[in-house]
Amino acid sequence: MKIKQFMTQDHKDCDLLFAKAENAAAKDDWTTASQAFNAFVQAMERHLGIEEQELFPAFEEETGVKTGPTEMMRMEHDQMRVLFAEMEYALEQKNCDDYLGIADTLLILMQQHNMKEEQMLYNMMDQHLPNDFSHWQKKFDEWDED
Amino acid sequence: MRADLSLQQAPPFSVPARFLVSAPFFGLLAALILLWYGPEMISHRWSPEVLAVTHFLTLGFLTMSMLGAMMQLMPVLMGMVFPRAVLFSGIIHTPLFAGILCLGLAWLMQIDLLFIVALVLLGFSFSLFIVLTADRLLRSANRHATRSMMLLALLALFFTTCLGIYLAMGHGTETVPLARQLTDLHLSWGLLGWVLLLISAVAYQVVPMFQITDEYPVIVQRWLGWLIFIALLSLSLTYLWPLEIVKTISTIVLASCLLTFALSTLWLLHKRRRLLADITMRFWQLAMSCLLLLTSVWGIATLIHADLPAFLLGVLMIHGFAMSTINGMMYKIIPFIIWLHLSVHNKNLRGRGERSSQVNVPHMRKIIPEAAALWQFRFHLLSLVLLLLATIWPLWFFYPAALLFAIAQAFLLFNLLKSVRFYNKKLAELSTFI
Ligand code: HEM
Ligand SMILES: [Fe+2]
Ligand SMILES: [Fe+2]
Repeated sequence: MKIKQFMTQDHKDCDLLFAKAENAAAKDDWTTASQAFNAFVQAMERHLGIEEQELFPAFEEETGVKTGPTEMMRMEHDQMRVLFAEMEYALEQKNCDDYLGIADTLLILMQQHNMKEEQMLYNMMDQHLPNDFSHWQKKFDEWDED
Repeated sequence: MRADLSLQQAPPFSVPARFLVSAPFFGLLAALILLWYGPEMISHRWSPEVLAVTHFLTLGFLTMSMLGAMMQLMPVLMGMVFPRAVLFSGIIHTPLFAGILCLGLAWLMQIDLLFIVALVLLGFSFSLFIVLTADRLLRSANRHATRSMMLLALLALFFTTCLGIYLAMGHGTETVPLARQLTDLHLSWGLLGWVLLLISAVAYQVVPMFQITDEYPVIVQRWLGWLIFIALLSLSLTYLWPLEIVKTISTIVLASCLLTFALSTLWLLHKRRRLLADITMRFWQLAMSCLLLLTSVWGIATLIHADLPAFLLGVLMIHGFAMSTINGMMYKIIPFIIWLHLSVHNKNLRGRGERSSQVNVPHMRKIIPEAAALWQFRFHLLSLVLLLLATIWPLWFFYPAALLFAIAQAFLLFNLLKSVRFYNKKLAELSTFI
């Protein structure tokens, strides 16, 4: 399995958690919503963290490019984190309209980000980085243990 | 030195905004013309008023917003930057806007000179857009099916424009005869080529992403657009070599493609993981149901050799399918890019040390409230139903339909203008919040 397939699958898994939280919030079911939201943020932080701490540095090392696409991706990760915090606040306040509005915004931001990775960046990584799926799988497993 | 957080290739807000806001302006104009001229104008298909309304919708609403959406979405969908976006969007938008107005007025007031002016303006605007975009697309490293679909759509726009210009010269000059046998070809390239190909290209990406659904089947993504394009090409060739069998086969292929696209989209939406039915989703469902209805009615009428009301299919295609899709997309594109520009602006101010605290940037539903979008959707839906009835019983339904259509378009224009004002206000506010 290549980086592209592996990471794309992880995007999809995160999407499902996102949908679960949103579905619950839309029904005013705040207990389920907050459980699902926490699971979502956890999965996202793991994904973003592995990109920032493992994949991007390895790619930057390999190619010598530090200010290109990876820098842009990092900035978008930060934009997402701002929205996570805002969503958490809306969740605490049980403010449905705010939660759904921020979620809508995050969804677009996240999807267009994922798309750039899936269609461009991961392809570039697969050309430059070791094509060793178990290596990345191990990073994911280690992340959960920390 | 760390550069300001850039907008990641997204063009400045004014670039897509001017196109997207122009669209409901032309929609409203079309509705007002219907109200002004009354039901006599649809007593036959070729009345100049009908042609003016048709083009305020197909060029003014559809093509106008499609160009704006392409300039906005291509950096994201294709990873390519539109060159010198502010400059070129101005050079493309202004003649397009003026050209559409001139074309409409040329029909309404029967001024031959205006036809010529319109054709020069439209020809210039479209050539520039097609050349610039095709050049970028050809050089893009992206290999998603959307890329080739967009190229085919551009080619279809080119054919539509050439045929349109030739037809319009038949209206506006003494020397060129009106080649009415080409009209069906012109409208097929326009609606099934340019409009349908571009909408499906975008749908392949945005429906799964924003509604969290499965992907379209790979065969659909890869072959549907080509089939449509080839069927349109064969149909065109039958004008040179009239072969009844080729014509029949092409028509059947086209109908199956429409059916496949509508059904697969409806199916994906039905199985979506995101249960929330947001406004854009409702617009998608409405649009695809119209496409389904259109194909069924068209197929059945052809089989039993029945005559349909002249404008039924046109209303289903232009208003029901294409305008609905775009109307729905606007409610995603506009609030999101406003949010994006504001949040980047906010972050840059902070990054330059001009402000210490993070001010919350309003989210999408504060930019266009869900309720405002929902009511506009309802008016749009109602106007569609009335317009369909009006194609069958014009005397009863023409005025109510035109009135509701005007309200729906004015409402959309209002929603968009309000969000633009909101953007300008917030931008100023953020800067003073230091
Ligand atoms: C430069 C651009 C265009 C020009 C100059 C133009 C011109 C014309 C002309 C002169 C006719 C009337 C032909 C006749 O009298 O038989 C016509 C019909 C039509 N055009 Fe266009 N056109 C243009 C673009 C488009 C586009 C982009 C679309 C669709 C997306 C479109 C859709 C139609 C339709 C649906 C009709 C048939 C109207 C009816 O049957 O009543 N046109 N066009
Ligand atoms: Fe990422
Ligand atoms: Fe990612």
